[in-house]
Amino acid sequence: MRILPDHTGEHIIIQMEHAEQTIIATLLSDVSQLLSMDLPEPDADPFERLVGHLDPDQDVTRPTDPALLRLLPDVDSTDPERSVEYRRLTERDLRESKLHSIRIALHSLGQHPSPIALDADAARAWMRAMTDVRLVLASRLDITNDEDAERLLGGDTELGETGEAVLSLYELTTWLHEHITQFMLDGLAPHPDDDPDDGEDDLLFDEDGQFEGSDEDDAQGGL
Amino acid sequence: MTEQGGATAVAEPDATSVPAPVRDVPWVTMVLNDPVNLMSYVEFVFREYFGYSRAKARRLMLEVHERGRSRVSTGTREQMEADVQAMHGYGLWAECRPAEEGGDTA
Repeated sequence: MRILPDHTGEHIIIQMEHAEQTIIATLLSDVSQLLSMDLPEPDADPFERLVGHLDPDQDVTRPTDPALLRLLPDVDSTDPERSVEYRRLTERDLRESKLHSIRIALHSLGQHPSPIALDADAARAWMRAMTDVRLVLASRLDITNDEDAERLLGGDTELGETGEAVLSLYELTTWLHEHITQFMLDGLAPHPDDDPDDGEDDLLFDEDGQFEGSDEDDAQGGL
Repeated sequence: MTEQGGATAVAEPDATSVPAPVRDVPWVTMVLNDPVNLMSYVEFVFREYFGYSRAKARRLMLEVHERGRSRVSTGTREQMEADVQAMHGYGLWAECRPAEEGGDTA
């Protein structure tokens, strides 16, 4: 997979081999299925679909799958009652917005042969969809803290064959996400307080110009 | 949580102060550290969604990274719940709750 240059800066152009397109599409579909669990069937009463979540008797349960829970977090881990109420009112919309981004990404993959040119809107959808894909992959890899992430990405691992496959998918989607994020950062309008001499790629320098860490750290590590 | 104001409670003349209604208390949105989201992405989210400058976005992002959490916005409960919803949409781990007394805000 490669990012091809676009001198106008209006698109990010991704060149993928056929196998890579298939893999990314499969990952997107898997996350889509995870997010669609327990939602009403498409042919259910449309009014019911819209307002069903307002029914105080209708239960929206906290996800038990840790990957799904990470995509649909509690609003306040110190207040279970409020978290349940908030989930009842908002979870469906959150699921739908994530599914929407995934649909856009799948559409890009399905409609065009490589290379795929994404404008800012499509890139934004990819950025969100790839975030959710990465969150699910990380959950399957049992990455729960920064040390886990650094250890795995540094190659210090005893994963089986499946685990290694999942890890390489995590690395691939991380690489892709990082490039899309950089494209989106480049496209942000300047803020009045932004210092024009402060380079975009100096992410690891603080406001006083103190060096924080190497690019390698930033590329590999989680937040 | 405290009850809404008014209603049926009648304070004794020498009672201690009645807790303020939840509605009047400022709320905060906190973004929590997670091992998946990269620093560049978190910075992007703070700049795109909140419209923060590059410097402010980086400061908050580094706070998440180094301290485990950062208060990224403050306002009414409704506003904070909307901000949390947006953060979850971006895949960030975030929560909101009433601001603690004496706590600093973003």
